[in-house]
Amino acid sequence: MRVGKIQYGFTVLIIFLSVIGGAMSLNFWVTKQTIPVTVMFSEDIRGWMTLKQVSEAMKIPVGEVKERLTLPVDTNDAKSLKELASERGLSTEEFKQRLFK
Amino acid sequence: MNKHSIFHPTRRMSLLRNASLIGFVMLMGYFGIRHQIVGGGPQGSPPLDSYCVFGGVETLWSYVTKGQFLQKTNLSNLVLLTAAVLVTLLTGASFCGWICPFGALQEWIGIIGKRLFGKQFPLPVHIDRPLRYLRFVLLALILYMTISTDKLWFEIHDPFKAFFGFEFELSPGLVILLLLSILSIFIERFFCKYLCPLGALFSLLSPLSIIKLKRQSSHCIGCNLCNKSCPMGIDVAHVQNTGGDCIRCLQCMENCPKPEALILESGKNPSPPIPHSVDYRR
Ligand code: SF4
Ligand code: SF4
Repeated sequence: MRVGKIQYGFTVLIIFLSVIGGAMSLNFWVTKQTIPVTVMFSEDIRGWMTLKQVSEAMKIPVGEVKERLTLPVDTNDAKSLKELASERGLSTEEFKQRLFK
Repeated sequence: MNKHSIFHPTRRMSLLRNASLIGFVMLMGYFGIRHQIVGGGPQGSPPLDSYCVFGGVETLWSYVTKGQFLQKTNLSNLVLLTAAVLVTLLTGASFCGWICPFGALQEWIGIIGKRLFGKQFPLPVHIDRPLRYLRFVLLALILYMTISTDKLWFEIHDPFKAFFGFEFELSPGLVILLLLSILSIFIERFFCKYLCPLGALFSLLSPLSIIKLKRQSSHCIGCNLCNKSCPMGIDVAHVQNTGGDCIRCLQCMENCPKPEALILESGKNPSPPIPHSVDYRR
């Protein structure tokens, strides 16, 4: 069976978008990251994690997280590691390392 | 209206294809910028990696063997991979010609190169041929390293992420991106032809596709205009069907003076070996 050029283009786009649309409607389209259940290495800790999320993931109190990161006790728990690192002129990688010392 | 204008009625297909590419480039740019502004995590916006088809290839092993996704990947990657594989099995490697935002960027840079120099500078056949296997080597290397390190090993080398991630920090990916951008000025779709691991995968699946791009030799007048317009350097004028390297951009069809010479048809003829060479364009 012959297929026209325009028809072909629409076929490509319709198949591609339909699979994504179908997955969305069936709740298979998951993009959000979740807090890691176990933390063993610094790679398990992500830059987007807030102090509170780090404390949950590492199963230690927020106070201890702040202490390991040498942060003042009144630091906002909702701040992310990435934000805190850049405020201190550090890379997130360097900053995260402090949690494991 | 100028026949070469993209708005000319005979170029409606190019208009549609470019609209599609612009749409996907903008979408990817939006995801990258949004992630930079909002940040990641459950409270933020997903990383660019979650919208990458190749991420699906990288995370598949981990998902099948351990039920876990590699860091930064998610179920969305497998959905995208499924969509792209289905598209390829039905229509050939059209993902590359109609959807891939990185392919689009290279194509547009190539257009700038053509405007600047009035031509492209394809590699000689004896270099072009062996170099085309490089992307299969890269695909194997990336899969091996990803499985053995259990993380997105290619991430820091990935030119797609270096561009659409909008971080522009000095990294191997950024250096590769700059090099590729320069090469794309002289050689159309350099990355697609010689390096893209995803393109390598699609080129293996594409010969199995239901819809094929065929040349009917009885209608072909051998003018070689198809060869001159092919960004992948395929010898369209001498093959029966365009094979695995073809990204189904349909430029050859659009430039062919004989409407019946190149056709899109569903059928089960086996594809001939991957056609090579850029010299045919001369
Ligand atoms: S070969 Fe790779 S970069 Fe080129 S269009 Fe295909 S997927 Fe995109
Ligand atoms: S053979 Fe035709 S459709 Fe395939 S890549 Fe070349 S110009 Fe595009």
